[in-house]
Amino acid sequence: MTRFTIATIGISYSDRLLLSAYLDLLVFRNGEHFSIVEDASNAPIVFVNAKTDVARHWLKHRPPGVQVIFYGEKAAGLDGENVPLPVRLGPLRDALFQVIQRLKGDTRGAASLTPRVVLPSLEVPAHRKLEVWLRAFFGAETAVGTNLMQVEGVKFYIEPHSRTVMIQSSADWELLLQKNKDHPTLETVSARPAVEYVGKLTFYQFRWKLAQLLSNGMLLPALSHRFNFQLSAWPDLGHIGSTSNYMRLSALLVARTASLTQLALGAHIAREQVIAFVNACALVGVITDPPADLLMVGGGAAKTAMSPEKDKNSLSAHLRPVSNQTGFVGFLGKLRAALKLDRKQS
Amino acid sequence: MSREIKIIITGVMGAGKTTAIEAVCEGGMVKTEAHNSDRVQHSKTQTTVALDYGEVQLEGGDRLRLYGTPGQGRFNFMWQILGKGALGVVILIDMTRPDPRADLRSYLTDFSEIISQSSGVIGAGRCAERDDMTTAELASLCAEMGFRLPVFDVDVRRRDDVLMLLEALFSQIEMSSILQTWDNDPLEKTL
Repeated sequence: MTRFTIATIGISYSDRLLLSAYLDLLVFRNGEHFSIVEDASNAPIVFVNAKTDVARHWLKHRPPGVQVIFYGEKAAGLDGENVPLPVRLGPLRDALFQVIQRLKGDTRGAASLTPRVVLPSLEVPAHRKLEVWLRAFFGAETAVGTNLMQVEGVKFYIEPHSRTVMIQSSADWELLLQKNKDHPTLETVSARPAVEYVGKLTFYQFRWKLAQLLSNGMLLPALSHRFNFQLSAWPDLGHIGSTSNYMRLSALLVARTASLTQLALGAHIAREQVIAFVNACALVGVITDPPADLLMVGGGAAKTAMSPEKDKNSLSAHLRPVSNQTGFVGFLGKLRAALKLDRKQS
Repeated sequence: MSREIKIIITGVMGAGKTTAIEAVCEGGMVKTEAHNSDRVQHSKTQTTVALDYGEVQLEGGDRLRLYGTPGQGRFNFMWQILGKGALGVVILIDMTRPDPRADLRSYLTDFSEIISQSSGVIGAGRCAERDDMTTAELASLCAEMGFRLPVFDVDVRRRDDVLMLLEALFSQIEMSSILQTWDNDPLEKTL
């Protein structure tokens, strides 16, 4: 069993999660398998998004011997494999095979590389449940045809062509997801049977839902409690169902960076809910990628990363005249009550 | 002393400004409608010529005041007058119009001062009738113009949808107070 470490450069957090999900599914016949690491300095294989400045800079100073796989478009005039977008298992397998051959001097034919797709039914610890479901879902989300993901008889048909998840069962699937301890099983199906469905969710909604239901107070692996977080845009709250908490967290995180503790205390929201929100935002692609030098809590740079005094888009800077009005938050509380806006808090 | 929040609701003719205020104020509203002489912009027979006004009375005399701007371009001079002292702007976009992006760009420009000094939210109506443009594109346009604003697909005939727009404004206003606390308290920064 040989494990190859892979680093990524210029690839977003959600794309890294997707890659990680695929790599988990890939085990070559001789036991070669892969995992993504943060540090590019020792990884023999690097996935590169050549459209980003950081990647272009890295490519200029590329260490000798490192195998490059271009994520999306290949950079002109440079050696390396290429995985077209959206990522699919076949091209990824082929690119990795070529890379391994070069790394090992291996001359086996491609036929000997049979990817193994295994999602065994094993008890899942609560803190890993979100990862397990995401891996299964990401595998199905980018497949060519319809995939059936199921657990305890509740069936989720993942349909990439319409980017929807159809849920077949009258069971309370949200409760089931929270309580069930098994991996979902995943299989390709020729077509979805024509029966009634209790739910139809877009991929965006399903990702959001998984994070809300299965976070269990644990951040996704690529995120850290030490990060200061920020949103690049408001999540599509109209689409996923707005709540007062989502609104407050969004308003705060669009304006500036904040730690989990600041968010929980500032917005008066339980830390578990804050974590579920941050996970969900990461999964729908609105969390800014955390540049480590700027976003680590307690680091000198963190305090100036999005300094309200310097950032002209900062809400704090915009609203200083407003917030100077005494008792303004109390007034808003009264207003919320009059309009019955606090009915949705989850 | 009683306090109040003034909110501006703006958008093109027929975007639903009057309807939105009616949905929240439930009768407590003044309309200034007249015969619509600009059938090129919109086919409705009546349109707002001065302003719409609605209010929500709170305990102790506090008030939420909602002002709807007239939609016809020739009344643009009123926008700045109405905007004085406003703490937020709701921009309603009609997605069935030929160029909703141009409409949005125009309103963001006209109300940029209020939005940058207070808060803003975009409500996109009739999204289902438009398959070549999404709310995400409107959000991108806001970002291009330096505003990271929430954009919602709404039907302003539904009270809940209008409340969602107001809630987004209130959240921005409320969080600004929190942020100011953080800025003034060095301990908060190290949490």
